[in-house]
Amino acid sequence: MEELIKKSKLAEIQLCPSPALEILSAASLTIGAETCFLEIVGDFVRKSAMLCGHDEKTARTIELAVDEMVSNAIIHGYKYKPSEKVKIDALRIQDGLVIVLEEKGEKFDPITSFNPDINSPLSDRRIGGLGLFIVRKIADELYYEELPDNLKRFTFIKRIAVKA
Amino acid sequence: MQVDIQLKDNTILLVFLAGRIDSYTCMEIEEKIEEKITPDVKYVIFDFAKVIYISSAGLRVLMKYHKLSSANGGFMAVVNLPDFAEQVFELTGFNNVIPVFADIEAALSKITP
Repeated sequence: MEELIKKSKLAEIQLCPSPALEILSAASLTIGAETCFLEIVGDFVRKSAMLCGHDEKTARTIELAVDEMVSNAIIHGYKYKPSEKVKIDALRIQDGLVIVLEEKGEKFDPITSFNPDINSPLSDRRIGGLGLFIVRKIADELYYEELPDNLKRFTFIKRIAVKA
Repeated sequence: MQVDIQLKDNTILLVFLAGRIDSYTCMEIEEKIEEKITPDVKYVIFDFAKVIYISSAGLRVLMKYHKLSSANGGFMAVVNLPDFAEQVFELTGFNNVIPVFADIEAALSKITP
């Protein structure tokens, strides 16, 4: 965990599909675009992360990262439309967890999204923008694709840290 | 989400939170604070003893009251920070800007009469 916190490098968001992954097992959750489901998403993601071999502390940070992505999709992508859907797949790979998030909300460009200066005075900071920063801080790899029918797919990979 | 709020000496707002602070519950927190807060409040103290989770939506609420109390010549503080919230503060750099105290008494002792 300390290693994770001190990791200053942010994962770069690749605008392409993730490389082919060997999926050992998978679980899926689909929610309506309402924030009241975030606790269910959190439980699903945290427990999936632990089943994939992550320790509880890391699993909780993965829960946080996915919460930020799903919250963005609900709030900014769909502007709170309960009839719309956000799909979250948890995939177990040999060395960790892959989360694939799919939604059809408004397009956004993660590359140009605001990246806050976390050392600036809090009072000077813009509201928002912090969520994606958290995602990039926690992820090992991130991929973003736009597919036909306005489908957008975000792939988040968190590998199990190898102890030195 | 449980939100209990006490107004003390007309200038100090004590906010006791229990449960998850995310994009869903932060709206309720903000609403309940807005019901109780007065223009005389200079200090806002959040007790996180029973907080089990916080996302950037919760940090946004803290930021709002940090700005408000600073503008009123006081401060905002968080007390009884659990491990997970401490990790989130470190991850985002909030620990460098938000005063964190062991408990309410420690935060109140920093208030100059």
